[in-house]
Amino acid sequence: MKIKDILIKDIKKIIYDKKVLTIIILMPIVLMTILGFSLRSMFDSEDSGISDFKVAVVKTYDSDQETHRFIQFLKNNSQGNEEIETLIQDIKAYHPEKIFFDQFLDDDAIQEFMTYDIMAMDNAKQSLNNKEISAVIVLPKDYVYSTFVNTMTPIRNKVTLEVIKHPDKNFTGTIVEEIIEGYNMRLNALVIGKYLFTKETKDYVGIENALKDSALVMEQISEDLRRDIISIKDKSIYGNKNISSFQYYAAAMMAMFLFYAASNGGTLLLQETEDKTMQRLLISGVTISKMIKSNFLMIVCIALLQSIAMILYSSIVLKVTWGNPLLIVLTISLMSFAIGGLGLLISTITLATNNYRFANIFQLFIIHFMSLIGGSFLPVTMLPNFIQKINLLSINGVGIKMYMNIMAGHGLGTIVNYCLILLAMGLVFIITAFYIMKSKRRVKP
Amino acid sequence: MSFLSVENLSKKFKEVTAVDGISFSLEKGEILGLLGPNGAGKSTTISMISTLLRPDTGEIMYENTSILKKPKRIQAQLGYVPQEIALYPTLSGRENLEFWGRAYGLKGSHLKNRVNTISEIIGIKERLKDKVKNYSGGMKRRLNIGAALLHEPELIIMDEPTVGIDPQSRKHILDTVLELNKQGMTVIYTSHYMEEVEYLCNKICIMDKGLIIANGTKDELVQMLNDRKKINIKVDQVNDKVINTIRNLKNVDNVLHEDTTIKVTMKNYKQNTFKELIDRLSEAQITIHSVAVNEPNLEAVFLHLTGRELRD
Ligand SMILES: Nc1ncnc2c1ncn2[C@@H]1O[C@H](COP(=O)(O)OP(=O)(O)OP(=O)(O)O)[C@@H](O)[C@H]1O
Ligand SMILES: [Mg+2]
Repeated sequence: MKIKDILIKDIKKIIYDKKVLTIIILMPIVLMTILGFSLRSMFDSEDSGISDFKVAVVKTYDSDQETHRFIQFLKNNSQGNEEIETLIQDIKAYHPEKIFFDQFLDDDAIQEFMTYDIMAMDNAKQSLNNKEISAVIVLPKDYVYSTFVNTMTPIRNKVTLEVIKHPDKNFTGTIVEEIIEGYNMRLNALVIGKYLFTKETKDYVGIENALKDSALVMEQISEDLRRDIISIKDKSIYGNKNISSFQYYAAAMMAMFLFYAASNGGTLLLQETEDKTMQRLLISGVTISKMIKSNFLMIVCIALLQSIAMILYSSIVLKVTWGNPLLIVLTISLMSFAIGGLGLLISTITLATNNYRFANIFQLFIIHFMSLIGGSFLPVTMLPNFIQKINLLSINGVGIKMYMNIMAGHGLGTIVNYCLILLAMGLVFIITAFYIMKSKRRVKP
Repeated sequence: MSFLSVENLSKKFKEVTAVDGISFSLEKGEILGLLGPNGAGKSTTISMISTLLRPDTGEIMYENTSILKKPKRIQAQLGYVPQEIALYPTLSGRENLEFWGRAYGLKGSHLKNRVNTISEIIGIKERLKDKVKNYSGGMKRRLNIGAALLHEPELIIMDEPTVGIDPQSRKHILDTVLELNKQGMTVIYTSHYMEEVEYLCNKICIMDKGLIIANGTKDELVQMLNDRKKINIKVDQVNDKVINTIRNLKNVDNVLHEDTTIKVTMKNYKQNTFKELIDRLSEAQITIHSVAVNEPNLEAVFLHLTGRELRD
């Protein structure tokens, strides 16, 4: 008997079962519609856009005083140098405020979606509470002095910009956070680079040269920042811009309900031993490994079918745009592969233990836990930090990330790591299932 | 060499010895009956013949090949009807038949033809489109048999195929088995109904507690009891004297009487014993209304061998 014939029978068994069909197709369709509608405001408040959102910048430093302090510092360290005055004039061109405001926040790429006002801390907090702004960026005390020191001398001071978010502005708040994090990282990285660059000036012998080099470093910083802004923006847009509640829940429900294909498919083999059809197949010469292979392929096919049904429904009825079709095909294929592996694992555990306990536990508890940490109920950005950390341990979590990236228009490059995770998950499940089968290869007559 | 021969076969499940070193053989074209009460080891025996179970000891030869070494040799030629309904309840009758046909490598128009032929034989043609779970018990039983016949097997093994169905379906199944046998199929048929085995089988093995306690043709088995005929005589009156006289006859084992019926069990039946019995009654001036001589059957054979009824 060909695997194909067993596979067709297995698929029929699933899709002839109205109860199973309701769970794997109808439930996710209903849920994505309901959640899409009812949680629209949560997504839409930000959705009007990324081009509109505002932040406040709070300066907690005293610019003039700190600039003066740095010049003083330079003078003290370079007694008798006549050129110092002109150099001091030069360095004003590289004032830290200039880097942050003129070159960073005022850059067209950022202005496109984020504008800022400089405010006092109290006003900023008030605006944040009134949800007039998405976040507050706090420039720390000593920001000017420390940045001067970092960029102009071999000494390093850690400079960290803080972001305060409002819980209701989680999406845009997160973008701001990512942007500032990128800025912090870039600046610190450059400072480290510069430190290596001006190594020989460690003992302040050639402050003159150091300053010349610093000019170069500063130019590099502004150039790099510009390049970075583009990628920060790209990165930040995921999960926010263009992602409507319908898009999110279409992907989230689809990813979650694939688990039911695994749990239902995972009980079929034991059912066949109870129905004695497995024994009958064995007598006809069909090997158990053929039945297991078919079981795996059946779960993969059911997951593919589910995915196709969800995508058709969501794009036709809910008008969800999914993005690059090739990447979507790649994603549903890998998701189905991983789900197939998981289903196979459930099958072999069920067969080896000769009862449905594991499949039931999976269906009653594990699916819901996975769905939670994977972000099928709520976007993970709204969940506690530790969940965000384990988010990628669940198949649906990886899937949702992939769909969000594809919906936001990103290319293969951004999802290739997720592809590898799914592939690895599938393989781990399959190998584990193989060993379980090998160690308990007995079927009761 | 026999078509199928079983040599010293045993199988233990933990404490239970399900089959305890049995041997028998079967020629092509025969119908072999395995008769025995619940738990006798019938299903275990045929599970080993059909390669589902590996015996602990013994050998099974099918057309001179050891099927323990080459299970494929028998698998393709075997039609196996399990004791339980082994079908896909959510699939239709046709889908089931087609699937089991494919399991034996049938395809295309040949498969279609066979499905049509078989569904006619088992009488479910009009219900082929319905899901099997909506079939009656008898229809499921018949489909369970049909699924084993699609590939025109040389040997068909049926494990209590008539359990729990009405007499009409049962008759239909038994006649189907006879018809298949006429077409050349060899059959192993297990049952705890002695009438079925008597009706069908040329060769019978009586099993009990994992052992074959008797085997042979029906006549051979009954012959064992032929000298133990039971004679029931209806008379107009009975008295103790005549009962004692009969009891003391040479070949009489036991005498009972209920009202005006005298039940005599013979020890060693001879024609003249019968005559003697009639003479004694006449001498006592007892009028005989009727005399019935009961031929022993397999039920009696089983009772005789084990001291228990075949079914409790
Ligand atoms: N898989 C098994 N595990 C443990 N014991 C078993 C197993 N299969 C059969 N047995 C035991 O072996 C003995 C013989 O069982 P078997 O099913 O062969 O009897 P049977 O003659 O077919 O009876 P029935 O008429 O009830 O079908 C029984 O005592 C049964 O409990
Ligand atoms: Mg049995």
